[in-house]
Amino acid sequence: MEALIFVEVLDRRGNVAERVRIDALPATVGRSYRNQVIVDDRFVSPEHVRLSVGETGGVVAEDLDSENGMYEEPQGIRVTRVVVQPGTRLRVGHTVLRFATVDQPVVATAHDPFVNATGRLFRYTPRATAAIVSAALLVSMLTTYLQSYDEANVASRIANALMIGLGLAAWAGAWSLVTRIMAHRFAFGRHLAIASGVFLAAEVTNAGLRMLDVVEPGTTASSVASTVVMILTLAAVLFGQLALVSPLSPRRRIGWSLGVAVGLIGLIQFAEFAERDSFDSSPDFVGAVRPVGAGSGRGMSLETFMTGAADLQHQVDADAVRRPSY
Amino acid sequence: MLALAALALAGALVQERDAAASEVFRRYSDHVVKVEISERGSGAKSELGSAFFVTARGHLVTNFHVISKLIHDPDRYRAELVDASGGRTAVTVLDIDVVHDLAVLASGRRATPHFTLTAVTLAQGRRLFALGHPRDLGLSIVEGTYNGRLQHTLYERIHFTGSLNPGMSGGPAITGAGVVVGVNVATAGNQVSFLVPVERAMALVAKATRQGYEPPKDFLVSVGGQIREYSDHYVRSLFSDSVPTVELGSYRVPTQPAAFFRCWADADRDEDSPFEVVDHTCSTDDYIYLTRDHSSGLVEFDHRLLTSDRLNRYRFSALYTEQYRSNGVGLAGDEDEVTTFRCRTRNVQSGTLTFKTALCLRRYRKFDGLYDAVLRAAALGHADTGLVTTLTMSGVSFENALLLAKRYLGSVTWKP
Repeated sequence: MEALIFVEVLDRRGNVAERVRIDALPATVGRSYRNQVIVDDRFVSPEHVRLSVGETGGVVAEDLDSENGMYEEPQGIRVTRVVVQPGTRLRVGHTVLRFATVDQPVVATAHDPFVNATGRLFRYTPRATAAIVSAALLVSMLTTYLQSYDEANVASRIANALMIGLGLAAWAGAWSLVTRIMAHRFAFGRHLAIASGVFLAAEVTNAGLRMLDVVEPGTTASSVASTVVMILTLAAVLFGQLALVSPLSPRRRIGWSLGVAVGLIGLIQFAEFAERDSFDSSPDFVGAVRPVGAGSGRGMSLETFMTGAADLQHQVDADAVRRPSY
Repeated sequence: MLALAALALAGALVQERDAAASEVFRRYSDHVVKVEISERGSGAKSELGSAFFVTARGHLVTNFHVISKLIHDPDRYRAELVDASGGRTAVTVLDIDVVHDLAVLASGRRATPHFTLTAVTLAQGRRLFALGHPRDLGLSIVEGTYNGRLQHTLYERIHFTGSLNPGMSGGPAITGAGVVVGVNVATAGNQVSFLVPVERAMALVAKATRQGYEPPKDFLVSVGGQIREYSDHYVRSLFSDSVPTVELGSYRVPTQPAAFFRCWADADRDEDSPFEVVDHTCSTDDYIYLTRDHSSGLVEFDHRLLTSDRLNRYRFSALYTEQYRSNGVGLAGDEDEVTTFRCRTRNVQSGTLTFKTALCLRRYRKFDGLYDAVLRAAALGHADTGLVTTLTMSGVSFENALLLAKRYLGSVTWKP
């Protein structure tokens, strides 16, 4: 049997708190348990409104001599009897009732942005994740080995790699918790895959940056390049992990990721910049030394180097005029 | 019998020596006074030393380091001499010789008992008596031995075998006849002490007491000028003509550029270590005192050869990078005295070698045109051999720093 009418009880923000399907009229609205529509509002009478079929066939609402009356919203006019249409709103006590019929149109179904979120980035499989994590750990072991010169044993190198693995897992775990809150699932494997992938890329890029530092030590080009790479790495990991957490479009995600990365790295760089003048009684020798290949035939002449050092003199002369910062 | 006679003779000698020391003390104790530097505001004693009269018009000689606070902050500190009877007289600084650590003071006293300074030549082993106020314990006499002039120092010093203690600085070291040989200046412990030769004091006193002499308006300008002049004199001569070099692995590197440098070498060849280190270090032995926290006038350089047949080229690079970046530059000085270091790092070609080179510079805040400079370079081009070389210069002009750095790096060569 098709419902005659639906009574929607709205909450204070206008959202539907309860929908009551009325299959037969008359029906009553009130606080007592005898009513078809029970309203939990102490300003509503036990039997407050009766709904019935009017002379013209429409549904009519009548005030049953209630204590606080019945008002038509949004005008707020007190009424004792009114013909209700789909969409009509009546206030009883502090509660607003809205009426609807089966023909009430509903909005189109929304697309769930979290369904297959990583599918837009890569095809996720546990095996692929295991491969990426393993590759990240292996590469980290390799780079640690190549960047050390001590005689550490294999077990300690594996332990170091596992610590990095634990770090990645903790990072992925934190994102999983956020995903659980935002999108009602954990997606730990996906987060781990993204974090490991970015870590892998960062390790490789870092090797490249060290090379740049060998060829062009201490120049603006190498420090700008390292800043850009730091920003891109952070943005990449945020871009990937936001895909699992937020329904943002890819374009907006790029914007947010880059924005946060530029902000954070910028803050770090600014802190370093602010510290640049802090006093140190020892000089700071920067850059990497790669004895083979680099530099052969690429160095400037001793004369040019010394001539260029005039800038240093200007800098420290200017520093000497400024008072110590303490 | 013989033994008894020997004992009696020894006893007589001891008595004679005791008599000599006490006689010297009796005769000359009124020539020596205590110098107190105190803060004007609180009146608290801040520095303590000794001084001795060198003219009847109340001129005294002491060390620069005794009165250096007065030079750096004349508005905050004042100097007084305290004589044996406890009488106090304000003194002013007439002139200084910061390089030799001397100062001439004026007390305004008249007809003071004083030493007459004359050039003196002594035989090694002559007995000397150092007078002064060790640790504010009252005027004391210390007997010791003249052991000649130091042969390998930049700033002339007499080696005095005897115990000088803090507070005796600025006091005289004299012969039994009251001839001043030098001015107490420093100790290296275990009876190894140093005096400034009297000729240096004579020159300064002659300049400061001549007719019409006007003390400098700003002594700090004078200090800066003296350091600059002195470093100009010796820095320009370093590595100038033929540079003495030494073989270090496959490199030839500069070594002892002058007699006043001391050089050491050391090697670390541990079987468990995957690499070997050989160090060759040269340094001037002495420095110029500026303040308690800041000294100057030091030139030193260090070559560190790294070799390995067990590390691959990447791991060797890690070792090399760490050695290049490690500090090991022993320059003191706080923020009041010097600016922070600024560095310029580039790959630099010198002869057949390419170096990763950093030149770092800082300036003395109070002395115009004086800098500390550090040159560090790592030779590139070999997968299992590296050379990190560091040249440290303090209290030099910028031009001299560049000149020396250029000569120094230019003299490192590769000898396959």
